[in-house]
Amino acid sequence: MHIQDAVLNVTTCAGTAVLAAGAVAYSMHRVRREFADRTAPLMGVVAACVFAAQMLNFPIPLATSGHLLGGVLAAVMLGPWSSALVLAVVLTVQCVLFQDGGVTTLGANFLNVGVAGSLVGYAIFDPLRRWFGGAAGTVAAAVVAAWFSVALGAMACSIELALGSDLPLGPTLGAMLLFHTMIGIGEALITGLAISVVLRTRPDLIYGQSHRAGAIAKTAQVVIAGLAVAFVLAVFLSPLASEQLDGLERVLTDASAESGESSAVYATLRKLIPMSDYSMPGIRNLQVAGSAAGAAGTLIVFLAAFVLARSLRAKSASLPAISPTPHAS
Amino acid sequence: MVHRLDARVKILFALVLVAATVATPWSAWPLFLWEAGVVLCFYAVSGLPWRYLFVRLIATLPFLLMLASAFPLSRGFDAGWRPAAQLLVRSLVSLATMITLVATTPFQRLLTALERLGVPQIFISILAFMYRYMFVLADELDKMRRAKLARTFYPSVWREVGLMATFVGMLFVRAFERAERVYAAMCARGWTGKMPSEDGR
Repeated sequence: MHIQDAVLNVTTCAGTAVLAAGAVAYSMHRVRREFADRTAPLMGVVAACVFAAQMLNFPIPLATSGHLLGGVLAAVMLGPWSSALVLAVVLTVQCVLFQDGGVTTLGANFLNVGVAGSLVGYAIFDPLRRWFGGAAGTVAAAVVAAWFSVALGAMACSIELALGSDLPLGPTLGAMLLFHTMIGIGEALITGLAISVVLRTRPDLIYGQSHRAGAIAKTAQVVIAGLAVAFVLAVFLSPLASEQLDGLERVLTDASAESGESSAVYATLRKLIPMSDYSMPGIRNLQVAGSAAGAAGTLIVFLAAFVLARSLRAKSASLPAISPTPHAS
Repeated sequence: MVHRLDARVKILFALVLVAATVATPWSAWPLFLWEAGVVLCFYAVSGLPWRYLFVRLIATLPFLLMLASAFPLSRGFDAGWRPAAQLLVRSLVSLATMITLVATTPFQRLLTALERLGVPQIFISILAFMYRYMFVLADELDKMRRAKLARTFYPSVWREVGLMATFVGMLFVRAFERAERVYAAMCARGWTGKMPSEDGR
């Protein structure tokens, strides 16, 4: 998901950069309020840690390998805002020192990895953790949140590609989901197991366990519900809907031919709508395959979360008890 | 000579060049030659080995080719070769620009220049800390990996995933503990939230 320079056009780069800059500035504000002069050493060392963790590759089918993104992992331990800031720093260093991701696309990459990973990931993680409850619940919630954060990041990336580079949205989304479902399952497993390791050794490091948890629960619940509905709709209905959208596209073509105006609207819509005139028959299948992979991934990850939670609950005697209510700090 | 230029000038120049390359339309293709020429001139003057540049450029090619091939695949060769070529040329020129910038400027000087260009000081401090501990933690990870290789004789995918997760979890715990130690040590030396800069300002 590290988009290189020149893949996106100038307007998309500018738009995503503005959004990302806003998110980073607000995160910075929240982090400084929370950590004061501890900010720089703590964030710096954790950023170095995320960077090192991202060098771990795991093999996935159909592609050579995927690597950990660590957004949810960092958010579970640092909170959403610090984690977003940490990922912004990691992406900047990767872009500047290692040419992994471009300068002009830094904003887009931050939206895919930082915002989807930390902010959205935490918004999914936090209500789920309360709902499941206990140490096993924390692990299960992290597993689900990690998978969704990767899938949503892949979707954000496809939308940016469709808007910024004239690639049709449908097949791009299909291909991205196909790979990132598998990367997401790896990410989810490693995140969940890593969190359980931390819970066993230093449970006090998990964010919100000891101090002011519950600040964003209400909004987060709305966000998670909205996201879940949007995601399920996108994944399950897009191959069916694209048949109708071809019709819609024809209507739009006729309409713009008749009126001669609204061509800008049409051009934008045409980019977003899967095109009907593919030269390769395999492209439509790619879209369906991506949707199927996304749906299968959702099921697998919930199953994995369930199994992990059960197995952890079974031996929860070895895990330190975590009180559901925050202690006074 | 390129090495000694003011880092602020280099950063701004590189950003302008990358932005110009990304914004150049295919219809004005001779501009690409100019942009590539400027970068390569700077690189030649800097006296760095050409091998260094080419190895780094080739390393990014597989991903770029995959993305570029999506154009001919989705629209047919006639309509698709032009956007694909445009993507490749623009990407390679931008990459060469960034490689030249980073290869001729020490990281510390890059940070000082960015700070003077108005990047928030806290962001710069975090970057500096990250750069300091990046290699330390990468070494720590390598140590864990070597210890694992010395002890596991029958590798299996499932055990591999479990071990990887243990690495990551332990890496985080160690990083947090290191951060606490670093913070305490820095407080003892008068840290107030700002890094004393090289020239005492």
